[in-house]
Amino acid sequence: MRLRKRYDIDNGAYVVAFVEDDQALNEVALAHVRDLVADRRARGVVVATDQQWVVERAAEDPDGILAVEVLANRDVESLLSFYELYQFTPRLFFVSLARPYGNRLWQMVGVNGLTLDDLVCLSMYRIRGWAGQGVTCA
Amino acid sequence: MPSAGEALRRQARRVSRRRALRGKKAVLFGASVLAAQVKDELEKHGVPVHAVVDNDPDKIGRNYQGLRVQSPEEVLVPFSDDYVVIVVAFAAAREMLHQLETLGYRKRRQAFILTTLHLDESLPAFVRFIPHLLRGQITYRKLTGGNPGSTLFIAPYAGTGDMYLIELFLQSFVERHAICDYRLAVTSNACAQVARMMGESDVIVADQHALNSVISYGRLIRARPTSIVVLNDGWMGAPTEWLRGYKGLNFEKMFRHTVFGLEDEIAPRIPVASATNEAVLKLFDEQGLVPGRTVVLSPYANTLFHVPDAAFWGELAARCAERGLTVCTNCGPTEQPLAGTRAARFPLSLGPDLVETAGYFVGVRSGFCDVVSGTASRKVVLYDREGRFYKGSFHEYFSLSAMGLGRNLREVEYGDGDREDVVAEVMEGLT
Repeated sequence: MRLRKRYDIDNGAYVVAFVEDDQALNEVALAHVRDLVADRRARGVVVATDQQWVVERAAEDPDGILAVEVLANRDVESLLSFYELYQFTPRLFFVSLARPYGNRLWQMVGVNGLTLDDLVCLSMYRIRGWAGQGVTCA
Repeated sequence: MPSAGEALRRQARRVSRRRALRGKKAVLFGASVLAAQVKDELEKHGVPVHAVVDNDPDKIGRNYQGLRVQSPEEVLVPFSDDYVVIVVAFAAAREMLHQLETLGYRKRRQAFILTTLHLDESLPAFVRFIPHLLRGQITYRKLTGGNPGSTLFIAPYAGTGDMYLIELFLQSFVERHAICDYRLAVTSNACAQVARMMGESDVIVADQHALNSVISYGRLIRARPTSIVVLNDGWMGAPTEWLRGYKGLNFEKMFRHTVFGLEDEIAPRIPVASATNEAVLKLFDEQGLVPGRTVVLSPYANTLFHVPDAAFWGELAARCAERGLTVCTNCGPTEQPLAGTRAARFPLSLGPDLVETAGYFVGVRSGFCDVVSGTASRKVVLYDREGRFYKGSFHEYFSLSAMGLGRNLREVEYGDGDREDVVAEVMEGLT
């Protein structure tokens, strides 16, 4: 609720929560933030994380990022727990192969040549125009 | 809580009554499966849909419910007050509205948003959700008989094709996880029939909302992975949903990998059909059908896509009769057999034996095609050429051959205006 109000999320912005200590995955997800913004014609995204590495990398390449919100680990867990109950907003994405509870993306890595880029863009960010190497815009 | 489809239909009915729509051309913004229900509802209430637009490059240029999908700019530029835009949106509703506003279309004057109801993060919304969780807990206890060690498999979608696929792999999953005690909950009698036909003994039919509440309850308590198992590749927001049709991930592969986590080497357990089932032979006798010389036509598919018209089926039935085959129509209690054919009304569980006994089958791709796919009879399955399912074409995603279920099978894609060619191809497939 705090993030929603502070960054006027409902007005064309998204929150991307980096909840894993998985550098390879986080790097891929950060690299595709601009694809997410372009696909949704959005204002930008707020990166929410308890991972220091993500905070630093986001500052290095802020394209598409409105702000970086540093959360305590317990805040990340609370956010996940709440989201597991019901999807209270379509404007929040989690960068994870296993969470929220029930996420089975980890089973799909490598299946039929699926890459982390595919899983991030299609499943986590739901980028409709994702075609494997980039976004095809209408 | 109404389903997403019901909620959208309700909103479509409300919008159709608005004065702003009178004398205007309706443009549907969003060519999704759920938007098809909105189109249907609008048209039922006297609002014909003039055009369909979408931002998804995969959808632009394709046929959608009889209309070609175009980009918003193609239809809506330059601005015309003759248009009223019905936006069917979920996450991106505001962006879509903003896009329309930049083109000159204003909310509630020329643009209306229809979206599924979702709960927000407020306390009242959370409080509204609590009864759903309590219902989930109660239903879970009821379904498992209070046995915490048992596994509850939930097949939440009522499609018989989904049920068939589930059953191809369920026993492999049960063995891999050493599950001794389980119950299967399904949402329709048809699914229960398929499950029992494939050997399940403990199957219960439950209300879909009740099963959804069990799934929510499982999330709340973070149930262990083998206590509540959801048998669907994209239920209730599961992110795997969006992989459908991408990089050759078809219907079978999605279930195999996302639901069961089974490698490609694990063979599906395909049931064997019989041509000596007494109930089927009795039905053949009553209807004057000849075993081994009968073609079962299945035109009444519960499918997401456009189906061939009556003229196609009529011509096909006539050609089959010319070839000396007896022809029957697979129809439900309220459906009529095609002209010149006999009615074949039978429980779904008899489907494989009936098709095995008949010798020939032609049907529009539907769950019934999965159910009879393992038979030795000669089969032709029809796919709407323009149909899309997520990232793949209808044929790419649902092809029985690609799924490894295509014994004696010919697959034919059809479109508008190619009736004669398709009939010829079907007849060739029956040879």
